[in-house]
Amino acid sequence: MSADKEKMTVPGMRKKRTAGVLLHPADQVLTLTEAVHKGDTVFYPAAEGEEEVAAREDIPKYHKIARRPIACGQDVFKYGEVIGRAVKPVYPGEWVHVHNLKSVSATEREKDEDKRV
Amino acid sequence: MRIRGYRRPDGKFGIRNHVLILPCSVCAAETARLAAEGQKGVIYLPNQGGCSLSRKDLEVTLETLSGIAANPNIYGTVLLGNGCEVVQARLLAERIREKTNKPLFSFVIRQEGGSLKTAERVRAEAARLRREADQVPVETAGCEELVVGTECGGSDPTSGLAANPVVGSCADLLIAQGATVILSETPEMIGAEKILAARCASEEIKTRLLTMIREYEEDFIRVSENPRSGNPTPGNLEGGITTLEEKSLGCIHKAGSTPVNGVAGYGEALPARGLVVMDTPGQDIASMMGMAAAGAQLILFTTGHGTPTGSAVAPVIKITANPETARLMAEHTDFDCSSVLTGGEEIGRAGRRLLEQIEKTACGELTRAEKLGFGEVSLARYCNFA
Repeated sequence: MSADKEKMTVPGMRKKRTAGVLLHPADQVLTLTEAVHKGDTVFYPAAEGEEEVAAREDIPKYHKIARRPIACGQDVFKYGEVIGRAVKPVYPGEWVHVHNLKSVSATEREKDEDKRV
Repeated sequence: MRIRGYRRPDGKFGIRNHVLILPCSVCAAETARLAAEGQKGVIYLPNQGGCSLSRKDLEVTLETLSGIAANPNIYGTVLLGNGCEVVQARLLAERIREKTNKPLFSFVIRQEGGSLKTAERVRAEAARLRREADQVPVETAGCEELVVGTECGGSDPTSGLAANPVVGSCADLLIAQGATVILSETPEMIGAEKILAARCASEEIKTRLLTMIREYEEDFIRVSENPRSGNPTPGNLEGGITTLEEKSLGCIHKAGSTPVNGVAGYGEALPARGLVVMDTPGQDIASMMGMAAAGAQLILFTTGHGTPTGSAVAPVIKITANPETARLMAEHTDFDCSSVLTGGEEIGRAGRRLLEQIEKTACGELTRAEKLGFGEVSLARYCNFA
């Protein structure tokens, strides 16, 4: 039960440290290996040693957290590839999911279909 | 990396030394089982097809079965047919001969006077081939002799997050040493086709790849499935996957980061070295058969949930990044990379560890599925109404 206590965000209480996975140096997002609560610190091994970001909200296990600011309309990278486009500005520590990230493959494909003879 | 195995008369290099009993159709499968029963080092393929085939399926079946016989892990093959099936023993033997000059014998059940007599003759021939196979000296060879298939099954969030990237990092290492790596499962490429296309080594390969993926999608639509509308699935969304690109990227990440040098049809001979994409279905076993038919001597299989899957022809290294699965399915797990998620192991480091495991398997160490004697078989099929 001590793990649960640690997750609570009572002022003054030591914040939990959780591991995140950075899949590619170009990625602005990490994937969480555990659920985090607002205020928790997410650390991850990067090229220049360990880095960290503070969670700005509660985020479920295996979901994405931003480690860099992302402008609205900017491509979002994971695996070093574009997984979609931000539809809102995203700040480091925010949850990245369907509310601020949209697929581009569907719209791009429609354009392709138009080009095909 | 050096591998240990057997040089074949056609020049290829196997890491296993099986004698194969190959029934042309389901009607000869039980006779093949009788012939293979109790013989060590003799495998048989429980063929569920081989008859009532459309023209396209006949072509796919001939290509796949002949490719399996030509797989370098096979010393020689004893074919048997019932006599009336679409995949005639003579037809299949001709196709095998086009691909390899390895030992090949053929029997027809009706001509021999029934299953028992046929099984006896097939058994004797297989036993003779087994004795010959045991005389083949073990040699060492370089990594460039290796064709490695990649596959995923029973995926969960840990697959796209760690297991597939680890395989991808290992694929880069293998290719750097001259090996060929196959990326399979066309349905998993839908949504990531632009990313794969951008990696194609030429315009021609790019066109072939995009056509392959589009045709697969059109086949889906023809049977009232839309791979885009239901994807990512509610389960995927809950598991943290936001977009279709992201889901497909998790899958294609098994292929690492090198250029796509060629595209092959199901079970077809590979057109290039390095990274090659093969058009296979999402069903793991059928997908692996296609790659084995193209000459893969070894398969890397990532799983989140865990699976007992093996392959009759090519050893299957099962890889998981899910710590629970590594524990619960320990007897099915060859490589545990859950440390990427729990212990902060770097993906590249786990990839190098996987390369060491591949070297062991390619030098004769048995995989979990081999120890269990598991050799699942399934052939892809387009039309079930012939």
